[in-house]
Amino acid sequence: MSAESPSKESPLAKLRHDLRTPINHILGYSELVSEELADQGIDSVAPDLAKIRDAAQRLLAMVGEHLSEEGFAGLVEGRSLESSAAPGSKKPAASISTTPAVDDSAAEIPGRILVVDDNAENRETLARRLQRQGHSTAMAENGAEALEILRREPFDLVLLDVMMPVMDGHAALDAMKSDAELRHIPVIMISALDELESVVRCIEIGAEDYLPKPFNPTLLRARIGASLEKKKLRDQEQEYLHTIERTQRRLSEELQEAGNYVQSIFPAPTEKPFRIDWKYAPSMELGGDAFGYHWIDDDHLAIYLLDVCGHGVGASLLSVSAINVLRSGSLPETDFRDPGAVLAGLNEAFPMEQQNNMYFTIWYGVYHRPTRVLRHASGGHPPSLLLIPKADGGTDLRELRSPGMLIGAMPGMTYGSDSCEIPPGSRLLVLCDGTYEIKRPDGTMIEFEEFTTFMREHGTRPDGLDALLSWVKELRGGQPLEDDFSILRVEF
Amino acid sequence: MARILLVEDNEMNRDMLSRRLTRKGYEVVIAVDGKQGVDMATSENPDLILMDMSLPEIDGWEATRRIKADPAVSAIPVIALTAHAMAGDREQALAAGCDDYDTKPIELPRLLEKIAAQLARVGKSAPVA
Repeated sequence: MSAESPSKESPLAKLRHDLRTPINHILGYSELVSEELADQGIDSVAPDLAKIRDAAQRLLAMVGEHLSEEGFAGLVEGRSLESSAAPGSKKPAASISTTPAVDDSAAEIPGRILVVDDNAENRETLARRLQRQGHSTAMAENGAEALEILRREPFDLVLLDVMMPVMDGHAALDAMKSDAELRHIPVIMISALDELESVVRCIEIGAEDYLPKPFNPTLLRARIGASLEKKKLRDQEQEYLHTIERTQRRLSEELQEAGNYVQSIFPAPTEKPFRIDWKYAPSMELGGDAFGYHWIDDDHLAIYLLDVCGHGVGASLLSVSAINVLRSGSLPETDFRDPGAVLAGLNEAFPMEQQNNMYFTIWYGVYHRPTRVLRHASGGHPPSLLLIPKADGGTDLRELRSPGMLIGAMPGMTYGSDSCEIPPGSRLLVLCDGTYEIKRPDGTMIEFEEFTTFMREHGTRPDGLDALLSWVKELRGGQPLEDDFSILRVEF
Repeated sequence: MARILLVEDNEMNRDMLSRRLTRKGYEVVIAVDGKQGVDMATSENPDLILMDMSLPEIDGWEATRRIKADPAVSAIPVIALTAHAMAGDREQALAAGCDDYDTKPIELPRLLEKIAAQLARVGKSAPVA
């Protein structure tokens, strides 16, 4: 087309032209037929032909009125052809013009939609149609403006024209999909039919769908509905995910807090009158181990360590309950200087049927300072170790075992106490099975003798307990501990 | 009998207008696109050309320019027919060399008047209806 040719016709002018052409045919032929029939002296159909010509003339007038640039603006404001054409009448011309019904009933899922098109007419027509269906809309005339609006306000859907100046649809989509804040907003590409190749590229980089121009109202409605529904489901999924994350975070914080509480009830290491220290490493946030020591009176020091089956919240709650009973000396008619009596009392107080089928093992000892005698009893617990210095500088190791059923398993059990005299400079190690029942990465367990050998060698060193934990972790070869680790050391 | 070359791509428009002009006593020859229009302006030696402006191949504007650039046929009156009465179309039609201009839908009496006027201008006569 040469430079002098009229400018490219607007879509509205083309629409006008396309509508007028068939109406002109009706008009022209009805005139022609009238003339030909008149020539032959046939006039019976003349009135009907006149009606048809009349209707066609009115149709032409309406096309001129409504599809002029001014008339069109009024139409999209919501004025229907019928209401403005012939008020109060049901003339044939008026009913013909409203025949192609557009489904503008309310959309099932109303959404906030951004319409991006450089053509103002297209943009506004589309926005108004969406508004009539109950959506709320915003408009942008190029990709850059669209991105600016998208970063400012939330949207459920973007209708994006492919061909635009400044920033085209492809570039805008690319920018959206590489922006974590905008990536989730579905995009439907709007394209002329000859732009299908670029639409395919857009779908490859993440466009949800496309709509060919000119719009088929039914297709428009269906694709927008489907996109909004998908968006809604995805939003719900995200909401659930956030709820789960929040809950997990809260639970984890609470577990951490509970873990801090458990550790806070363990007595601090002390130097006087004996040096007492300990090492504790739960396998999860909360462990089933608990221990303590306290002076029952001026002469008697109680030392105890218990291990509830399993670990985690339930085990931890039972271990805290049991340790608090020991700390507060609250068992009915029980002499806390008598280890066997204490274990029998615990066995009555914590039957597993009433403890969610959990039971525990315990080692309980009472040291009588004036006589240097340690009385001890065990409820299914591993032996404590006594490291005794030898004259030659070496160390003897004695295992302080006493028989006894684990606590809570069976009512009416009695527990015997054993005694031993503690040589000066001896160290007592009270521990749980988590310190020595260690599985190597290859699945084999270490032998108890390996453990006692390690303790004979390192147990007297000031950092012996740390050394033990390091050794255990090393044996695990980087795997987490399978059980809670706790050990208590008293230097007499 | 005055001979009119009708250049029109739409079959129905062509059929209707040619039949109506024939009824009015004209001889009508038909071209279906701009290129054929230009060729037939020479080969058919019409007395007048009715030129639709939106045509395939070469459009009515260009076809008119070519006709008006050829001394052998430039004297033949050309009446432009445009579908949309856009402001400026008349000026552009005249600028392209058209001798007159009419808009669709065709109002036959008006068009017949314009045809008669153009024929009279070049010393030809319209048929007596």
